[in-house]
Amino acid sequence: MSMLLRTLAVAAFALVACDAYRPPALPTSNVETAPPDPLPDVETPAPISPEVQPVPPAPVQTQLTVTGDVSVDPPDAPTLHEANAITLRYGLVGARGTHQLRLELKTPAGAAYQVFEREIDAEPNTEAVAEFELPVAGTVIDTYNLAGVWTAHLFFDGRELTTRTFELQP
Amino acid sequence: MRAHFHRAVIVAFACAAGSAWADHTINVDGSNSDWSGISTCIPEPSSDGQGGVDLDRTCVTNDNASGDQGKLYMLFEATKNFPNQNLYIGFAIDLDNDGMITSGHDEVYAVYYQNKNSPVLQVFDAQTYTYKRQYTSKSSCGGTSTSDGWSEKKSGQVAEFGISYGCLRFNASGSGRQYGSDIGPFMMGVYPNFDLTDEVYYDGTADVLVTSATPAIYPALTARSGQVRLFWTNPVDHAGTLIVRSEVPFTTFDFVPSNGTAYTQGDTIQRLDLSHWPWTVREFKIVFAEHQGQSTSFTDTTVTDGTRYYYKVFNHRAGYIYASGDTPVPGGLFAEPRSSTSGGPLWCYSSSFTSLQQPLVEAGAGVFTSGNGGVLLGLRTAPGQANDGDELFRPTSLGGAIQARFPIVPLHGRSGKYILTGTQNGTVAAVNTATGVPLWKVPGSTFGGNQVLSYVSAQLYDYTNPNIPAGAAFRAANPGRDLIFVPTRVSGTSNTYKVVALSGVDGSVVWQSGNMSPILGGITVDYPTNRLYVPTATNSSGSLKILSSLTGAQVGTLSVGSVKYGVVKANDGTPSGELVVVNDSGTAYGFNLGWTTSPPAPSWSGSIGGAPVSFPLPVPSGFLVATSSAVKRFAISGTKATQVWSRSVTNSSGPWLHYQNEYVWVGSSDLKVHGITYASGTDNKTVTAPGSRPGMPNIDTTTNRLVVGLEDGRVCAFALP
Repeated sequence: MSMLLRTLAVAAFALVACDAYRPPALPTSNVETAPPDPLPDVETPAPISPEVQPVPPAPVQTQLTVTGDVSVDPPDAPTLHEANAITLRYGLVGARGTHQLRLELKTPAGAAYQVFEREIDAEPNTEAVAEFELPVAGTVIDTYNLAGVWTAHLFFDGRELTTRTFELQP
Repeated sequence: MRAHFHRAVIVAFACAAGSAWADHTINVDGSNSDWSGISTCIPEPSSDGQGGVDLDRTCVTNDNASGDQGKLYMLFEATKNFPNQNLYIGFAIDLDNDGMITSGHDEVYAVYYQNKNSPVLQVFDAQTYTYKRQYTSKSSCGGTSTSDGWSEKKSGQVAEFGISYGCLRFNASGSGRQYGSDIGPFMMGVYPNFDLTDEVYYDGTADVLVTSATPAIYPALTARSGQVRLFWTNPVDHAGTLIVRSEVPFTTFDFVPSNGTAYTQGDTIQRLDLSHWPWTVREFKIVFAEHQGQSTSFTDTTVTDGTRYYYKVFNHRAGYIYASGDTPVPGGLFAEPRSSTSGGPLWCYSSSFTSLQQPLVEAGAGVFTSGNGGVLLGLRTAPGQANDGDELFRPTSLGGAIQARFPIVPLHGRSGKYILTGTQNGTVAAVNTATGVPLWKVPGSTFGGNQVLSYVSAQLYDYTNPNIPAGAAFRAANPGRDLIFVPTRVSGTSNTYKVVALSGVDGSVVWQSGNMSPILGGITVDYPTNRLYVPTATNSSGSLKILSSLTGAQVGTLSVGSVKYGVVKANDGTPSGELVVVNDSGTAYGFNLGWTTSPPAPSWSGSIGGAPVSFPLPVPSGFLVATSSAVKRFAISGTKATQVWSRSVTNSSGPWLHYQNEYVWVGSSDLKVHGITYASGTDNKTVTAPGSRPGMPNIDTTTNRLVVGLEDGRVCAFALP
């Protein structure tokens, strides 16, 4: 790993956002969910209690899983002053449909530095990937030596999903 | 068939508890004949290109006359026949009305057609899709209401679905919540291909489908002693505005307005903060509640100097459906009104994002700057006036972070002045300083660029001299137009740059240079020779490129090492002047600009004793420059640059000279702006930045003010000490 960038949250990790918003979606249709026997007539008077005749559940989507890493260009940059850019990569599994990602970066002093926004188009059981490039060379990060622990807050459809930190060496 | 969810689903609100819409009589007969007088429909603009069912139109209505009693109807029209295969028509309901579809109370309802005509109403957990129950009876759903029931019918391209509210109250027992389809958002669609349009909300009171509430646009504020003035722009879908104030940053555990609720200005709302132990009660003050109106500013005078306040601006549409107050940042805008009599700022404006670059000053009139929020800012200079520090215009969005200083220039044939700048996403614009309106704004894709990090330069038609060959040549090549020189990263590359010349008339591309190493500092334009001096960040030979400003062709190079910061033109007493360059190793060079056949050797050089942190600022017979630990003045004599003085400044910004009173001003990470005497380098004046690191300052010599941007996003004006 580069001297420059110490990802405090491990470089590649899996994070389960247990309390985060997860998008609703209807059950998938490729799994047989109706009982095998002939279904009741549409005017059948009594409801079929699930306790009496359970129906196989639709595919379970238990959580939104976030993976990702932080990388620096060039990888061997010893300090932030030799870095061209930092790339934060996020992979999301468990989302479906179109969603808005918003990444808010805070400086080591806690100031709101920059916001990036992306739209992702997520497919079931497929990792949706979003990359955010933070320019370093020629920016105030370089000029003002904004070294230290940076914080990246990732928002999913407006709700905070995960927080990641990384350190830039002076 | 493997289905895909890849379109936004409809989110619909039945927003008003206890609403009283009635009179729609819908027969769930698989026909749209009884929907003709109903306007609560949204079209599907285009096919999603996937297999399955594409919707043409979806409608919602109800026959509700008594709050949570009644029936909700949905109509789905498809682009092709609903297939005789496994098919869901369904929706999710936010039963607990918390604005989210989450596990727990919220549920997904789906009418499931297995193969042909054996529908069942199935209910799933809203997130895990764990099966909960199934109803095949259409006369009773097992709920608590006597009106329980549901019905469905699909015929050809039309499907209808109706559900009695009793079904939606299934989990109400013991929850203490009021459930019903007049409360909370629901999502609906047809599966496979949950193929619908953008989010909309169903207003159960007015029986209309409207788009979701949109956040207020660019909330910002100016803090002065005893008051905080907030600014925002209302989106199109707007009824009123709610502004909430807190004395600590907002978090996800904080106050969120409840849809359907009209808040009262002046009220204080308490919330238990469970995010940290010990739990604490937090207070949120409703400082502004406009139920119906078009206000775009508000002044909060209930503030105490020295206290930090956080504000959130919530737009709401009809029915008090609130948008997120998370713009520009979820934590809220902050302000810290202070008295200026004790050295505090006259005002501080905040758009929330780091703004360390040097603000530009129109003496006695305004301050122009930008920041990482992707907007250009114009702020009023009006000493003694109530609007001192207010916005001259609403922030102008250019869509990407703007960190470089920018020129403010008159453009040929146009009145007023224009800011020329580029963004980190490649966009370049010319923006009128009086109105904030872009004369033109061109995306980087028009010239194959995707990132502008440094100063945008110009060669102005009106400033060329037609009586010298170079001026005549420029005017001949560019009749009636200025040229705007943009250093941009080349699309598809990580570190390859080029210079693009745009027409000042409309931003169209005039020429593009060849590719080169990163251009991170400003370009110097030499009018008498029609040459551009382009610093690049490479240690390769010929790192400083010399281009023809008429064609972009390279006409020479200078080997000065890597140069991150801009090169500048200085008056060295010769007719042609000289170029001052400080490379990243700290060696300064001077080059006479009057060469004809080949670039000259440096006329002088010298070490500044460390890497620079900004461009060299020319002063008579020398220059000022800053390293990370000191500000230095150098004098040029013969072939040498000699240090006149050095003043220690921790993490210095670039220096700026107040020529009239001969002070050098420089920001520091010690949270002060230091005033250093130009003659001797004595550090004997300071301006204290209010709690955040200041950047490179500027001076308004008319009002005798210092303006500076801060790391925390504020731009502040101070009376010069």
